[in-house]
Amino acid sequence: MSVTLDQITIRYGSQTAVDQVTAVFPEGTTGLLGPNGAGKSSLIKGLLGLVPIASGKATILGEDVIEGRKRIRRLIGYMPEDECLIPGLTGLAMVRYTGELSGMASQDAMQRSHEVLFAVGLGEARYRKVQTYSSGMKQRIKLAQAIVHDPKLLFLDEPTSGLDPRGRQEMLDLIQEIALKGTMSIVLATHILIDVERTCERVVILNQGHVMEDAKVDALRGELSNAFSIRIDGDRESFQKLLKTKGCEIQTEAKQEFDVTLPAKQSSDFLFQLAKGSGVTIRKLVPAIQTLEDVFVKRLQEDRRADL
Amino acid sequence: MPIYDQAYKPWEGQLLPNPKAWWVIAKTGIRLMWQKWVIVLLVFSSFPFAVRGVQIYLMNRVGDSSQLGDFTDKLEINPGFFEGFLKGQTFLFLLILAIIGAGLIANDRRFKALQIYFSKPLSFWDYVGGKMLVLAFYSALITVVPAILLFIIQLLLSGDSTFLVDYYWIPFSILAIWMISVLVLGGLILTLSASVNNSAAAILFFAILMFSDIIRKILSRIPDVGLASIGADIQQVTAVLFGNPRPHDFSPYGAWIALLLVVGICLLILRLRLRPTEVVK
Repeated sequence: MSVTLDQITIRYGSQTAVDQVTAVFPEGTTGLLGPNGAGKSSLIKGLLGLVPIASGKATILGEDVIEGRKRIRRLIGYMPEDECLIPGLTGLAMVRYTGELSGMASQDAMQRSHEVLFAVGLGEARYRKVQTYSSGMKQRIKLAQAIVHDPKLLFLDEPTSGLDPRGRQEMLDLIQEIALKGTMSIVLATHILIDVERTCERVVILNQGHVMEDAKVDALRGELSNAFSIRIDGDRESFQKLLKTKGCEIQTEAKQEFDVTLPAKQSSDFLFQLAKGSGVTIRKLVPAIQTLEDVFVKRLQEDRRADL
Repeated sequence: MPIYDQAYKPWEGQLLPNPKAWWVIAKTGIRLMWQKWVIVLLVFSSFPFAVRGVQIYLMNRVGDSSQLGDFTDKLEINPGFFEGFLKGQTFLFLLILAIIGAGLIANDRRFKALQIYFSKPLSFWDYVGGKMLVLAFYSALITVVPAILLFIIQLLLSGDSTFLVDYYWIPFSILAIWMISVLVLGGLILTLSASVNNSAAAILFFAILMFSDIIRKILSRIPDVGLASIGADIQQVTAVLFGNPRPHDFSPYGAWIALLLVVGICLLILRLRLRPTEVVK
């Protein structure tokens, strides 16, 4: 396992950012998904020791995050969300510097910095001062400093933030490329669902400091494949009442259509049987949950309902 | 197969078993600060060195010292000569500490670089030690290096071992004074750099030194009030280390304790201020 979290709580004064989170990030690429303020960045910073963990236990690559902090930091890379730069240095000097800080020999760091800067697309700009970089270039240099020492685990905090569509695409390609090499596990914290959908095998959904979902991306989509969007001819109200009495859940309702989640182990045949029995004709039946975004929205709604 | 693959490639090298992050920070800091104005300042600071060098030459090469008249006592090469040289360099020493030190941490804070630093395998001591070494290097160029060179020149020109036998301890005193000054004043400027912005840190640095000295002068009738002046404390300790008469009437032990206290407070504030993440309330 790359990361294990056991009842992790992180507080800023009286504000609880992460509340008793228990989760496992296995090897591979894991998305840490959630809206702004969900606690994603705080969780990563807590794991890195940048903010204190109030309670709970966490391990990274088998090492306790508090006792083995210095050893862990040799094995991980961190791309912060903020616009972080080492002022006064050129791109090459900054990546070399961070490589040396990570424990690389000076010559190795120099040689590797050239390679990494070419890999992230900053080969031509490597002799420019980092302060003069555009937003997109700053994102790339942050990635370069995080991967220069080829860490075993890479934390990416909102790597596509502030990028134009093309830059975003390139950044995701790069992340995919690194993930495909298979030498590095990646934890990608983002609020952009498509980024997770495109790059991650697994997703942990956070909201208000709690874990809402922890599953494989594909499984999550599959798990909800018994949700359908349907349109009927006939008495809609009584049909919906019937569905509810049979254990179905009615979700979003549009003018003509509504979404229904069937009880576990039931298929669409079940709907047809009920429709036939109540004299209703099903005009349209399509799977309602098709993207991770739908899952995310659904989970958020469930969470809000539970709060009420 | 491409001739040169620019895609991401895993690294097959090995990390150093015991990397010295403080040294990496120090050497990068020194390289970054090596700018024209620093070189100008260093050239400027070499004038007193040249004058003292001429003094040594005169005292050793003018055969009949009576030719120097009443100045003979004043020109004599003794511990007072070296203490005087260091005292003369004080302003440039403070200037270089203020100009270089003010931005050392403030710029990292401004560009949020602390998150990058502290996600690497380095400790608080590595970071502060590295930054302190930058100050130590540049301040050494205007204090320790010329002072030790003057000592060597005196040894070479004196022609016998009498001076070395009598004053072998002078280089150690020079080193001790330099280390104490860098620890105390370097600690102070780094603390300010970690607390306010670049220019405010430099201004506050001089303000604190001047204000504490003004208080000492105003309240000079109250015993031991001079301890409140960092400058006076350093002067007192310097005099003790060179075996010269003490310039102030308070106890040198008190001065040692006061300086230790300043270093302790600075470290405490640095510890609190050097947070990688600014918490917005």
